[in-house]
Amino acid sequence: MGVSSRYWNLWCLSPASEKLGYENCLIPTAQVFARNQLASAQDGVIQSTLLSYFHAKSATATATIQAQAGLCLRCYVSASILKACHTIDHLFGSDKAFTYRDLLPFVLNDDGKTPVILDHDRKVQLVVLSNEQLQATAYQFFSVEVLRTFKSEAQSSLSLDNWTFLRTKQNVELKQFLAEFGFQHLSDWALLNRARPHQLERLSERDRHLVNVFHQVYRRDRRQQLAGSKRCPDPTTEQLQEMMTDLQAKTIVISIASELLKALKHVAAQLRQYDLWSHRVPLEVHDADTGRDTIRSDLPGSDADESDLEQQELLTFFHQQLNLALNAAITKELRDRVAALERSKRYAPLATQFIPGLRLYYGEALSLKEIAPLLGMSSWDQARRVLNPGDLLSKVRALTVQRVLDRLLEQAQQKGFAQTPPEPNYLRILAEQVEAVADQEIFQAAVEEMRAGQCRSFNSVYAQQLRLYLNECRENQSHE
Amino acid sequence: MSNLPSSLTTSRLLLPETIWLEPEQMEQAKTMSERARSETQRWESYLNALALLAFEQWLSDRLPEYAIVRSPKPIESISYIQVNGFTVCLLAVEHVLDETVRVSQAVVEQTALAAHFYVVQEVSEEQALVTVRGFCRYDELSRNCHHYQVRDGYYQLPLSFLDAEPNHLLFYCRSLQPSAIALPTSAATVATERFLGSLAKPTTTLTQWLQGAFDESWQAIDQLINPDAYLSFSTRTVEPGAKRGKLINLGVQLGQQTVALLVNVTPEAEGKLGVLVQLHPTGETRYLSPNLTLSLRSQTGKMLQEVTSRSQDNYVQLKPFKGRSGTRFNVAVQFDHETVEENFEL
Repeated sequence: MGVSSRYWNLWCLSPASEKLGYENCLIPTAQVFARNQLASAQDGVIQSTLLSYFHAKSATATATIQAQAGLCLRCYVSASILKACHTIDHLFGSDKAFTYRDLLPFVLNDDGKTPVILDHDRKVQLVVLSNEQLQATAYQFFSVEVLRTFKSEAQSSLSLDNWTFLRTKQNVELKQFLAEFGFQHLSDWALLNRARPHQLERLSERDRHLVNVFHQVYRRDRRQQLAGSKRCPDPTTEQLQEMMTDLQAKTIVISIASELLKALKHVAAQLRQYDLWSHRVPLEVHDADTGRDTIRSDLPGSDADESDLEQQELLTFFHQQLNLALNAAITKELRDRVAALERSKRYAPLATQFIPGLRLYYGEALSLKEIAPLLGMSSWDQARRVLNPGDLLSKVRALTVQRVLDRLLEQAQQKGFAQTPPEPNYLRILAEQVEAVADQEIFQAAVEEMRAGQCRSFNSVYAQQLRLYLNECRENQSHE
Repeated sequence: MSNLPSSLTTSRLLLPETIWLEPEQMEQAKTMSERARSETQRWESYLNALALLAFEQWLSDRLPEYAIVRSPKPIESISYIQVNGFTVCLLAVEHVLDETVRVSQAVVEQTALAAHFYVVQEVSEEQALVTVRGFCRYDELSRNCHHYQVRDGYYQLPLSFLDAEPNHLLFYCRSLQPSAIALPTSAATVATERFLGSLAKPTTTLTQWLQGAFDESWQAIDQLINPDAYLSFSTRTVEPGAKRGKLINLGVQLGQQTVALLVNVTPEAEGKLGVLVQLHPTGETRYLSPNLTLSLRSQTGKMLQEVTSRSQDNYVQLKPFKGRSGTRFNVAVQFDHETVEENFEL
């Protein structure tokens, strides 16, 4: 086994807006260092070897060597930082006011060039100049900051990956950004509605009472509001009066409605802090015996034994099936979607706009906002619900994987590799393998181009196949 | 294949499985939540109903070939559905920012609440949006849940415990047999099976004994045990009644030694019957082998009495009991792994 290419591939910002906002850059200095210095290192000790070079544990290490080892580690950490940004985006859910792209500049700020080491006390970052002179720097690389605070010596410390995730979540600028934009899509009142005991216990006792009283009154009336009134309105004077009466019973006296409104908004402002919702150490468990947080080894999935799957034979078979499955899945899901729209009371009049709408989306690369008026739809929200390209992609992905999985399973069963019916773990491992290849060959690109910003273009295999089908539909229509 | 970089996670991170709720569904959820007692529960129930409606839609879009049936709610706060023989327990949460999912201990540990799959969905009420965050299988959950902290009767599962690919649930439902994920058998099922099994075996009707009718396998007691023991059995039961015994062979375990199961039935007031059951050594043997167990169960298999022989017991007996005519019970003699059962009806 060689050294992982993670140690010389740096994930860095890519300002081009049609891209994902980041790109992978090969760092030759890191690659050369890894090849020369780590060639003989055992698999399990590569990271600790690099860390000891970086922290100058070896007597022969010069500042330049330290910095080169550091560069390898910075590359490694950059992948975890990127993953952390994706994860935070994912955790906040859909339909919010920010994406991972907004988070990247705070934490993915490594240029992959500047040689940096730490001072003896591991307090500050120092730039290594050409003559091995060291210079303090005002500009802090976040990746180096992660390494600076990482305590690899502690026996059961977090892994570097998990430490990076934790540090990224705790990055001050990132948290400030999230406080402003993380919950921007939620009204104060939806945020208060959401608060659960875990959040409440971090508020003052008085604020807890305010939230509890608010829940009793506002949630009750919220359920009674007319369907379709989505955004939570400000509490009415009557509601505030009722809350004030309830508060009096808890010996909290607020006698003016506007005062209570202000107080509730103040609580909501506190709830916009990410810290109140997140968890300090999510990935580790506390070991009562040692008093330390340790990395869990019990997560399912680690028992995957891929060698069982007679991989090569199935892989050949798989590639033949993949494109067939994709085409069939696109055809079926488009038909199903049109049929579902025709059946729907609300959207039946717009069913005929589905195919033309997708053509504008995938053919002309128009946004849903731009498409809505062109097709006589009332709003972006309606275009999103009717066209829902994300849902279509998701369903095509599921069906493609399912079809290939069925064929593979059939073959595996015929050849005696799998039982009939299969074992749950076998089925999952097989599904994960199919997903990995299907994502790599088709869906990863399709998802990325959909998530890309302005000026995007749809060039993925998925988009091409979809356009073929959409154009066929047009020809069929013109022949009729 | 194993060397390919796994892009699965990134794909899922970028394309979560979301369901937009329509006003009709929100309206329906309001109605469904009216019955809950307190306002806190009503809100909980409302969110659960939204999750249920969204999931039904998600699942029926993807598995149109199967019927999706709502299960009657065993507990108010959680919904269950059945699909292709699988039970799915739906857990609704409002956010997963703490990367923790609270799962009630009851839904894992109580046999009536256990499900093949547990699906976690995030409900964003204001946005009318539901996200399928992931799911786990019963076998994985029951095997691992004790690793996690329990707070107020809830396991604090890390979000990463879940299978974040909801499509796997579809694959399981299509390709597996429900028996592949063994659920705990409920006490009621055990009892029913035992009851049905007991019906299949011959039953001795004790009322008939009082009329002088005996099955030939039940013999007069003096033919079975030594006279001293016979004396003690006779003098202890002064009431008129019928006494009979049966030889029981527990095979190699007892070195071919047999024991005698003695039953005395007497008429009692109010039309009831009194029963005394003893276990004696046979022939010249003075003591029972130690660790012989004599037990009494109800017809549904509920253990009512149990007694185990010690090193020098001349005999063991169940506490005398009474019952109405028609009552069924089961007496078992057990040694090591060998059990001999007798079914009776009063």
